[in-house]
Amino acid sequence: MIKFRLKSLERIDEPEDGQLPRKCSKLRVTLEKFNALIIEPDIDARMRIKQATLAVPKFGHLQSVNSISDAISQVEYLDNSVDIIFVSKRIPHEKMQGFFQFARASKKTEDAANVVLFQSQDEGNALIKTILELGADGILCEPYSVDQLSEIAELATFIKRERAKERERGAISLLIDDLAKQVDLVSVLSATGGELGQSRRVLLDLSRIAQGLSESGKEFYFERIIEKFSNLPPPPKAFQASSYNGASERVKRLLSKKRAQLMKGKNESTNS
Amino acid sequence: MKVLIVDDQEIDREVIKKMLSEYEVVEESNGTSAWRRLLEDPSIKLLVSDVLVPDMDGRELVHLLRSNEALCDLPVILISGGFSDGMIDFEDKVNPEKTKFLLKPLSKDELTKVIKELL
Repeated sequence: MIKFRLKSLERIDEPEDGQLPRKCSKLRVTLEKFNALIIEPDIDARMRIKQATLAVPKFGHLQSVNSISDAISQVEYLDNSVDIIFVSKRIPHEKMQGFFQFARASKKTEDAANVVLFQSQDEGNALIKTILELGADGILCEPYSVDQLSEIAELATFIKRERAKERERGAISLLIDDLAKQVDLVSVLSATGGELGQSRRVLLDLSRIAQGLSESGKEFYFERIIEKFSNLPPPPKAFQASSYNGASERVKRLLSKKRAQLMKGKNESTNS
Repeated sequence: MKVLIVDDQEIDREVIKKMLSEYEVVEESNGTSAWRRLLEDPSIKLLVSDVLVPDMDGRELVHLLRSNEALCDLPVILISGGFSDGMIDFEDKVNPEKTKFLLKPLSKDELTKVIKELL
């Protein structure tokens, strides 16, 4: 059974209410294909992996080169992004590691799964730890099979999702830092009686961004923001009002009210 | 004399820097870092700032300065784009003689004249 990932569902014709549909509604399903880049200096080995991937319907566009330097120049001119990069074990480890770093930093290959090709399972198993430390995401050993390649495609899906999540988390951390700075600024302006203008608008804009985060983004946002704001030091000296005369009358009133409520609560529990 | 230039556009900072070639110039790209720099560096004697920087506007920046004992007399030149930034009617009520407005595009003669008036 061939498994595939649904990219989009599109209804072509919507039937009008109370009327027979003029045409049948159809759902259009788009298959997502995985684009691959093969880096293999040995021509026979290159043909074997190419033929193996061509036999698997999940794979789309295939690009093959015989060296790291060719691969680097190809990446710059790619039309589509790459989902899987197959790298031969013949490539020296240092060059392999350098390429993985380059691929992570390039827009077209940043989410690609890096897979190292071995001629035998034993060889692969012996070097797997080293290979993973270099930055690879998996290995593929000859003889290649449809099942193995399908698993590689699943790995690519997982890697893409995780990297997108990582980027989202990085962006959310920066958003929280900006929010903290802006809250400091707005609070010192308010404390010194200043009229709020641009600073308040910026704070509102940042808050709107936070409100628009995805569900998983919001989950991470709340985890980070509670942790961050709990451990924040007091505002830097730059943001402390030059003369602090203690809590304002409004704050003093609120605090006494709270204290009275707490005392009342304590007394009631003692009496009962 | 040290001058602090505040503008989020690097090119605008470079233009002003060239106009102020006879002074020692330091630069910041937003209000928050400018404020911190002013507090940490008492040798800054003049502030030249775009009225709308990413995190605050000219009104807020002037308010922060005038509400701080060490900085309330700092001369300030605010550079405005005119009606587009909403600062056209702004007035420094605390120390009006220490705050001047200039409209873009800036000219060296105008800037030099205003600096002489302030210092």
